[in-house]
Amino acid sequence: MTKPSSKKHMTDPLDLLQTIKPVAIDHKVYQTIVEKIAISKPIVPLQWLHTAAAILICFISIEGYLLASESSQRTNDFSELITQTDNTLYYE
Amino acid sequence: MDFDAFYTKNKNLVYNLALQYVQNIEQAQEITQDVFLKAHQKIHTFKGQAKIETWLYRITINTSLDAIKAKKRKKRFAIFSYNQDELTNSTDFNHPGITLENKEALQALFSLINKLPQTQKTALILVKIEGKSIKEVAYILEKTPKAVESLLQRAKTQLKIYITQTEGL
Repeated sequence: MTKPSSKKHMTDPLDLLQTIKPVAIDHKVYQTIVEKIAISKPIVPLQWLHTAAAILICFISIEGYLLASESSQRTNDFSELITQTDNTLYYE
Repeated sequence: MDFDAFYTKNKNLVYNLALQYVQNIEQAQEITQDVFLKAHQKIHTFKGQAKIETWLYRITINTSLDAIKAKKRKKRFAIFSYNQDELTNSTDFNHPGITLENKEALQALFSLINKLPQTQKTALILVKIEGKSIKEVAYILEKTPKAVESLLQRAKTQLKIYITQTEGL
């Protein structure tokens, strides 16, 4: 009769992990989650916020565009004034 | 599916996985709350390609790891002079799935598992405790089965080193 090898009987410490049993969660946790969801819900719907932000960005861009075109027009006028060189003497 | 049914179906999956990471009832409950809040907020981003269970696994793993990081950061700032390992392992260990006869051994084992890199710890938890196959873990972690096997092997080797070091003390 042979002796069982010591290697065969050596237990892997990781086997202990398989003895851990699944457990059920406390039912109160659900209530807390529902409360947190209610708190985290925004008063103003997110879609409305997005729409408002988009409108605001449009206004700002239009305003910027108008200001830019107006100022370029002004510089044009100014350049026109500069280019109008008149060297004639009136009281010649 | 309404949220009530979604929660009822998956609550224990999330809670038990969180427990394996933090080994503490209160923290696992907090993680479960966070996971379901995130799931509620991001359910519209869920692509039907993956199983909802896999999606929840990923959220739970990330939330648990974030919670552990946050706790470590908090402790580092709060108590500089104390031994951190002692604090995390002895006072916080409260795992309801562990029988009394195995409590001491598993507490020691978890204290070593907690020292492992996050990916190795995750692979070990999913395979050894959750009973997932290498293929399933690979899918959850978005890695190849070979990479998961390698992670698992490295985790085992590292744990053996830790165990020898502990016995040598």
